[in-house]
Amino acid sequence: MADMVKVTAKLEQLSCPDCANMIERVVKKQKGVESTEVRYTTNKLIVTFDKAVIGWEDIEKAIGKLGYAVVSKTESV
Amino acid sequence: MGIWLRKNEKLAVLIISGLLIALAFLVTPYSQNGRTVLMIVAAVVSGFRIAQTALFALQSGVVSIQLLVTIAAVGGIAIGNPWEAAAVTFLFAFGGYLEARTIGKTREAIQQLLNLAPASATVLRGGEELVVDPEEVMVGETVVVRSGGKIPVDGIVSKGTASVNQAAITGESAPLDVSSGNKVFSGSLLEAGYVEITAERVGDDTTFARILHMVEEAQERKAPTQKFIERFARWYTPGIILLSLAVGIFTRNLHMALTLLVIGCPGALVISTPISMVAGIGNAAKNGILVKGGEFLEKAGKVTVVAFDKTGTLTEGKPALTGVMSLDVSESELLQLAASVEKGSEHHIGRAIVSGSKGAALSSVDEVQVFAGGGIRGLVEGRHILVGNRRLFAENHISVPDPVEAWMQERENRGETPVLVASDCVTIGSLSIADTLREEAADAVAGLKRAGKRVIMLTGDNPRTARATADKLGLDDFRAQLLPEDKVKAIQELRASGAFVAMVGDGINDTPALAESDLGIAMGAAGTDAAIETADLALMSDNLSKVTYAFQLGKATLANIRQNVAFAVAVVFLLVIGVLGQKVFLATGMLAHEASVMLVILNALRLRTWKGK
Repeated sequence: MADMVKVTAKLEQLSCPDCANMIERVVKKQKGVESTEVRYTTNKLIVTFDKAVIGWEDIEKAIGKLGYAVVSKTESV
Repeated sequence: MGIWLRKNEKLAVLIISGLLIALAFLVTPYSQNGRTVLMIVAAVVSGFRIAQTALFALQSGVVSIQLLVTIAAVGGIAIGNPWEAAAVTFLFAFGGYLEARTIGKTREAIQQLLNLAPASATVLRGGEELVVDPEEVMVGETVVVRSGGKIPVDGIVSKGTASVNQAAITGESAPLDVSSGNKVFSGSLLEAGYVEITAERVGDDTTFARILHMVEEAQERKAPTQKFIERFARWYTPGIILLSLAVGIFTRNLHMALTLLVIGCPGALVISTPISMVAGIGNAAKNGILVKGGEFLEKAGKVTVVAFDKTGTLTEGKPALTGVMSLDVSESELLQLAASVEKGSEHHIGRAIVSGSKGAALSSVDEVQVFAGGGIRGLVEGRHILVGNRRLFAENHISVPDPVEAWMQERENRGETPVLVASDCVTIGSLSIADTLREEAADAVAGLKRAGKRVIMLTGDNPRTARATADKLGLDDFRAQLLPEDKVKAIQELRASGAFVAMVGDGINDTPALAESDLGIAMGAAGTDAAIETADLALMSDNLSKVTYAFQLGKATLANIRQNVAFAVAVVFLLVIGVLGQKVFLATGMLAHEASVMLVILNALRLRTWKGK
């Protein structure tokens, strides 16, 4: 049973446009993530994923491994 | 110290590796080995995070710029050039740090707005003052605000007087005096006085919250130029990779191939447009201009024809009764009959007639029928009363006697709007209504004309009134006697003739024309949802000079974007040639690459403080 959820997270200031692109592509490659968008001008990450497959903590960890911290997030279904 | 380090890890890394590099240069005359070791340590310090990011991204199958930098650094050490390794990693980390800090500044205008958001509200509950979160105030409750306090809700003043600064909403810094019955907005500052406010909208529903939300959305919307650049980047990046591969294979010069890869990243180009847009939109927001997206700021710079709606836009929108002419009945009777029909009217002329009849006891009215762009009819005291323009009277085959016609023409030549009144299909007189031109209207029109724009007026008024107004303001042209759908047609014709048309209206009855134009601008939008929703650009205040400012800002933003794009393309082009010609090497290439990104950001920042001409 897929349990889709959409999270909008504010990241710390991204240092380069290529980095936004990289975060977007890396998060998209995570299992259970359906779609990702990183908005460079507002440091926002919008990600839709299947809660049954991947938790938000895992996504946050992946972003952390890329060297960026999540400042805040809001969740919607 | 520990906490500072964790918070400022990036800065600490930069300082340490920078010191190591400096130290390496200092020991060079004495020990080549010492230099090598120090450079390698510097490269490891600044490159550790970069490599970590690169490897993790690679695990997910993503080739990042960090990977290229890592390969370049490792390669530099391997071929016995640790200085290059240290330089590349240090410059990359340093560039990223500076860019992050500077980019944050482009959003400062929005941040300043956010800071104006009220943090608490004092609400009256059961006769007692209670401090609560602004979101917790309920519609209908009474909120108390004192000197120096922020108004936490949108509402109507029910008690007290105060001087209020609404700069956060309208961009106008002159304080406004409010008293009982006046509307006030959340986010305004109460400079002096005391008021009690009945809350009408709270939390996310307030105009202020909606503006903030829309500005943030606008910054995320991609402008056409940006989309074009992203399409360009889609073939550009693989192109650079292929070029690097070809260079590597044919020249056997791995170092050169790697340099090409690193400097070829289109960083400056990719941010050239959005960064200027964000700065421009921020500047607009600070000046009370809500731009719904970067593309509209681009469009604002391209406008060639500005079409103004008349009532409420060029004029103050507060029409008043200025004259009465009656046949066979007394002036007061004529006025009483007309006002009775118009009692429930939403039309500005109707409202002017009703308020002009002050004191008169209005009769009840039945069978009211409204003719859009024509007038109104109703049954008053058993008589069919018709109030409307010449066209409506002609359609109903009601003749207009010569003295009435003469009186009307004389009024029209002064720029007033007379309407006819008939009782049971016989003309009994005329009422004249006039609206004051906005104080700054003539200056604003002159400013637009100086900027090379054609300024025209679209109005439902009769030609004579329209001409008088057009002459007073020095307009290039006008179209009169237009119904709302005629305004749409007029806009279509203008666009078909090749003009890039901006329509300026109050966003209430000219919504279709606003939507039809290339750029719809709504005035006095604070508190008017329809206007904010429909328009591409919404001026929060009623100040016409903001229209000129918006166009100028659009032009400045467009110019800024073009400078950025041209600069970014030129830098990449020169660097590629320099690398192929063996004039530019890894460290210098990296420096130029990072510097170009930085310069693009700094150029965009100029828009933040741009103040108009």
